Amino acid sequence: MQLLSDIRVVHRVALPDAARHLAWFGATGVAGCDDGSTVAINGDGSLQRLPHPAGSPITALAGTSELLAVGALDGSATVIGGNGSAASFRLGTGVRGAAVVGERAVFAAGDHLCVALGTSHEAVPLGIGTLTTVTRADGNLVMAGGVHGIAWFDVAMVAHDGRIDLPTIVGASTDPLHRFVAAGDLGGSVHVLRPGHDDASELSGYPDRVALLAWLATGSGLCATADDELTVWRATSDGLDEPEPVRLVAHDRPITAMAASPTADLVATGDAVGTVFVWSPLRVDAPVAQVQSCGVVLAIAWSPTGRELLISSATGDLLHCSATPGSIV
Amino acid sequence: MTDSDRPTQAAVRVTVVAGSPEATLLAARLANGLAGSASPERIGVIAEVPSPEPEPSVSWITMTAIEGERTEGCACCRSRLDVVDAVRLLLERPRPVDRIIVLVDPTRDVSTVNQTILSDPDLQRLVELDAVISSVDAVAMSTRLAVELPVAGALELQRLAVADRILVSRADELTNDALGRVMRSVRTVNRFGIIAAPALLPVDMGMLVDLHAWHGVPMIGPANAREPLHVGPGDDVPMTVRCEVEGLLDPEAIDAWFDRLIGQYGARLLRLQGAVAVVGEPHRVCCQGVRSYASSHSEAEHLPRERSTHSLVAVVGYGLDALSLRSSFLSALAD
Repeated sequence: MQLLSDIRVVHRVALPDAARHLAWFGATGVAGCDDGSTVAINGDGSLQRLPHPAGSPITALAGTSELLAVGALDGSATVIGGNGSAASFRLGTGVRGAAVVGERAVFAAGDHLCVALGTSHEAVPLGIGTLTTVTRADGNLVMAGGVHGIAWFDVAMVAHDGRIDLPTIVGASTDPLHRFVAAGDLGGSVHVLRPGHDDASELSGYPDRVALLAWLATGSGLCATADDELTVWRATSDGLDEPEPVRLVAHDRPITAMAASPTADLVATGDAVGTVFVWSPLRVDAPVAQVQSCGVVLAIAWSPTGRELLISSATGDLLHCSATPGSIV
Repeated sequence: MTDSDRPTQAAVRVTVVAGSPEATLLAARLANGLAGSASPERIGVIAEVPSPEPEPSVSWITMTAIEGERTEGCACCRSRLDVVDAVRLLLERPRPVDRIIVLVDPTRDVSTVNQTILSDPDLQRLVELDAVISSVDAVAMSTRLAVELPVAGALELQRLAVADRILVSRADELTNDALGRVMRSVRTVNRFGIIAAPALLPVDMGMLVDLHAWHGVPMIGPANAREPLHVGPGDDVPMTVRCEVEGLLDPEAIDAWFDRLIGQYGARLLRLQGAVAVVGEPHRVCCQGVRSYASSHSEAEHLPRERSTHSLVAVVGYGLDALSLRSSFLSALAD
């Protein structure tokens, strides 16, 4: 049972600028800011600037315990290792997505996917137009979304592994059990794919364009936001149940950020007036917790333990929260 | 048509600047002028090229165009993802800008930018389209007219057709006759805007901003000028159809008229704008759209005292059947 029993703000941190991207680098929260800075949030709420060429807004951030990948609007990219090593290089155009696969960092920039290992990197055109997103799918496989569809790419082999023509992809999320990847397109459909396969099922008829996607930790559901509504499709090993997803409504302004807990079936959503709700799909009538930020919520990130939550807003404020999962009594 | 809950009063205004290479300089000077005026504003510019006259107080964002499709291969619902990202970058931060200028490269489709600003959910929340300014090189156009080359390419014709202000550059390098022909040719394509020649008469910044030109009753001329225009093979000249009637319209009939218009012309619609007086509505209903997107709101949102029974809709597009559009518009009058 995954009802949240408590969430509280531990630190309220003033960042150098608004942070559109948050990630966890092991046990450390990291914010990528519009002024080009990348900062680690220490346990006492202090900030530590990480090595990345300054000056251009951070547009992509991905982290694991081993690597942090940072990309920026001016095409600069940095890979920071857990031992403090850092390698920076420049891609031809702005970075729009990043992922970490083992020892490798992957960047989506222009119509190329760039794979970085140590101090070397290699960029490969994917043939799906300008890339808009990239997400780890399974093993060494990533899925890149672009203007003309999606492509599977083997990061270890640095090679294509298939391509599917679709409308422009604007967001993607991978099932934590690695059975499915969901990709939302500009037309309002969600495509559910099995990693590496070239057939996709489509969840259509959604009233508004899907803005954000996230899978629940147990793989039991896919969350999607559109306008002020959160929708959850139940998932089984065969796929997603249509046509009656659960609709969760509490925001009265558009949802602008969403993140699913990696350890419990909880999802946090933030909106255009700074309200953050935490939901358990077990309880559909109301959120299980609420935090108020100030200004448009730009990004949310759960820690790998599911016990901490970072929330950034357009005012440049960052909330560092502790979350305590509870249970139904 | 869909209703829009756009917060027209609070939204930051966006001016789209498009046209010949001079448009880059125009955008830079407009931004720098507004930022350095007696009432300085924080200005953001979204462009594909760096500023030719950088000014530290202007937030100039350089991004590569990313044109997304809602349906594979379909032109009627395209969206510029880079513009959405850049607008959010300028507005969702501790010190947001007060005004945004979007510079459209001459090789890009201005209608895609206009449609993005009107239809994207994030942009509906954040901004409103204030006006489109196009620039045109008088000497180049005059030369083309003289030797009967195509007067302009398809993208330039589109820019001219939907513009609210057209700035004709290098007008001082032409004879009066040649300039007159250029001006008449531009007017043949465009029925909305003021056409000005800054080289002959300086243009004040106030003529270019805060026009609120894409909302409410369009400022449109009474009839089409008829300067013969030579266009390239496969190109067509966009036309503007003015539909108007005095008296209240039947709500179902006028809805059906809009549905037919969008269904029939879709991707060929470059601009749709008007205000219609409808039975049961205390104020006129304003409509605006591009291609297959259209939205509506009450005129009371920006003109609370305005009450009129005059309906006027301007339709800009390719291959429009003007007679049919006007007659079916008239037939929407309530009994």
